[in-house]
Amino acid sequence: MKEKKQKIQCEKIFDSIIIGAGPAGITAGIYLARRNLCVLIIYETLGGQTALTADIENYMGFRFISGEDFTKKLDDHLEEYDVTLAEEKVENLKKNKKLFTIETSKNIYKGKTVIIASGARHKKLGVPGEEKFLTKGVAYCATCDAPLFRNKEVAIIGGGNSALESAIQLESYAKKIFILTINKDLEGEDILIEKVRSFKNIEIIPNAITKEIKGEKFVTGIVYEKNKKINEIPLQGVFIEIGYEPNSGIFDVKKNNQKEIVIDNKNQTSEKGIFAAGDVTEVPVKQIIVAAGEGAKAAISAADYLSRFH
Amino acid sequence: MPFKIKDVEGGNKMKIKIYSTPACPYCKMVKKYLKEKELEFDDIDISKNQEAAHEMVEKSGQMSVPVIDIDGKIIIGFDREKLEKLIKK
Repeated sequence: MKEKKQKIQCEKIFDSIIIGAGPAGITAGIYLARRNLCVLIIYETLGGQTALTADIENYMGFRFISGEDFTKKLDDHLEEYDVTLAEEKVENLKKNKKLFTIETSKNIYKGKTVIIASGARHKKLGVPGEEKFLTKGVAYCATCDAPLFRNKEVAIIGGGNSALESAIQLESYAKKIFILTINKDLEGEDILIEKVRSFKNIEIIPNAITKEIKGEKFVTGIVYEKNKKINEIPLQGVFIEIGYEPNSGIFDVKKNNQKEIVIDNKNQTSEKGIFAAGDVTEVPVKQIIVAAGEGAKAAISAADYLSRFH
Repeated sequence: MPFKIKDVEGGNKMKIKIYSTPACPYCKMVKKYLKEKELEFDDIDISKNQEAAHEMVEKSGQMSVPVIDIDGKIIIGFDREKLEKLIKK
C-alpha cells in the first residue's frame, strides 16, 4: 500500500458516494478527496468503458495510450488518495430526510451527497438472433474477441467512431469486414474514417437496415434491407456498435427521452444532493476528456452543497 | 477477500485454464480474481495460439473470451459467483 497524500477521518456517513469508477467517477473522487472529504466509490468495472477501449489518442497529454494503460493510470492516481472503494453492484438509491441510502448486492451505505457516474452500456440492435447468438458470433467487444475471427467474414453494425474502432481492431484478423450503417455514409472522426477506408478487406454498405442475424450453432449470416430490397450475406461474426445507452435505470431523477439524466450546468440533478456526471447524463459529447471534466464539475458542486449542509 | 484457496479443502489441486486475449478487460478481471485467491492457472492467449482458439470454441461452444475451464467445467465471462461456487466445491 502506497503512502496516501492525506488520511481522512471517515465517520459512518460518507460526505459523498460516487457511483461508477470511469473517468467521471474517478475524477470526482480525487477532487473531493483533495478537499478532505470522506468519499466512497462504488463500481462494477474500474475504468468503465475506458477499460474496454483499445486506443486513446484524443486525451490531452497522451499522444497515444491504450485503454488498459489509461485505466491503470486512473487507478494509480486514485490510489494516492484516501478514497474508500467498493466493487459492488448498486441496487437502489433512496433519500431519507437529508441523507441518501444506497443498497448494493452486499452492503448498505449512507451519504450526504451522491454523484451518479455510472456511464453507459452498448445499445442493443433488437433484431431476431441478436440475443440467441450472443457470444456465438454476436459480439460487442472487438477489443476482446477480434482474435477469434481470424480468417472469418464479419459484419460491423454501425457507422460512428465505435464502429470504426472495431473495424481497426478486426482488420488484421478478419478475412473480410462489412460495415453496415443505416446512414448514407460513415460518421465519426475523419482520421478514423480515412484509416478504415484504406483497408483492403473492408466493404461499406450504407443505407442498410439490419433485419436479422441468422445461425445454427454459431452465426451463419446477416439479413439487411437496402432500397426496400432484402439482402443476405453469409458470414461468421456480427459486431454491434450502434452507440450506447445510459446506466440510469435505477435512479429516480429526471431523465430525457433517451433515459439520460438531466443536469444543470453545475451537474445538479432534479433531486437536491444528487449530482451526475459523464455518459449517464445528457451531456452531448460522450468522450473521456468530457467525462473527466464533468466529474470535476460535479465534485466541486457537491463540495459547495456540503459546505452548506447541516 | 472472503476466502483464500489454501483454506478450501483440495482447492489447490484444481486444474484451471483461462482462454484469453491480451486486451480483454474481463480476462484480466478473472486473472486478478484467481491470483487474489492464490490459485494457479494456465493462461492461454488465443490471439497467438490458433489451436487453442479452436479448442476453446469446441469445448465451450463460445466465440467470446474469457472462457475458464476448472477441472473440465466451463465458465463463460467474468462471473464472480459461478467462479466462487466452482472453486469452493
